[in-house]
Amino acid sequence: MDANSNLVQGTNIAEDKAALMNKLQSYSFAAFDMQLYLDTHPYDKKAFEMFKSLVEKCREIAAQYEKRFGPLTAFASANFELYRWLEGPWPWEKEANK
Amino acid sequence: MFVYQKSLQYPVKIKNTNPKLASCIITQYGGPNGELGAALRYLSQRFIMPDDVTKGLLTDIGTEELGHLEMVGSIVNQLSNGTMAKDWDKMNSAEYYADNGASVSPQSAQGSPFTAASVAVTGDPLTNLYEDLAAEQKARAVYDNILRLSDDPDVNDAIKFLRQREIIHFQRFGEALNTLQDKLRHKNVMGTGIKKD
Repeated sequence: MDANSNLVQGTNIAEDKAALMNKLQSYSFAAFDMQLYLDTHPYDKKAFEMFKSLVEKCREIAAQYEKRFGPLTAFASANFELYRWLEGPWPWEKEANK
Repeated sequence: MFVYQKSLQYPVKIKNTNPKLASCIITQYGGPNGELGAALRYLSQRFIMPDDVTKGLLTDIGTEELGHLEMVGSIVNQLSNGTMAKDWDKMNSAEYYADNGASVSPQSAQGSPFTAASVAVTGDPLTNLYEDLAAEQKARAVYDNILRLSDDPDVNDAIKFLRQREIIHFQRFGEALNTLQDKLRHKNVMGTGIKKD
């Protein structure tokens, strides 16, 4: 593999990471918004079903993300060989918001 | 992003109400050395920290402080829940009751509303860590004062846990300070002094 293809692959990984994070944010927000709705409509079956499928999707995406890019919570770093909780970039940094 | 877990970090189980003690302990909720200020201090300082160790530590301790805020609120609530105006009056705590009733309000024991004036956030990482070390000592000292004022074993059990956490945080902040100083010293190996912008 030459230096150039390394660079191309590197870009793809960064793009994958940003896309997966974007997906996680979207589904997490949708699930959370449904949570607020359920707080005032706890017996709405249709809403609860939608909440369930959104949460399931969040768990799926979070697992995918963590497997490739490291832990999203401190406790999730227990799933790795090393304690990777301190790895940057941190959410408030530009590098994490591409 | 913050997610709420429906559990206290350490159980708060208080059998007897005590409005006077509630109006003293409230200071660790919204007073100058309280848990709300602590959480804001660490969660605000972390943005400019230069290394991943202090970014992580401030995030984690700042988050734990929000859990401690919840514990202090639970103590005050259990000490005052169900009490009447006359109970507060009898114990010379009518002032707290007048403003807040039997509820949990972010203010000091002397009645000053919560203020961020006791929270120092500077752009200097080492200065921030010295502030944090001092803050943990001050909070520990206030818990000592509360333990001197309280003879309720249920209250003291939870307060002793919170006091112990201040000591652990002091320890961790000390380690973070040493690590960061070593890193900065390493960068300054040519002895050129203060780095200019």
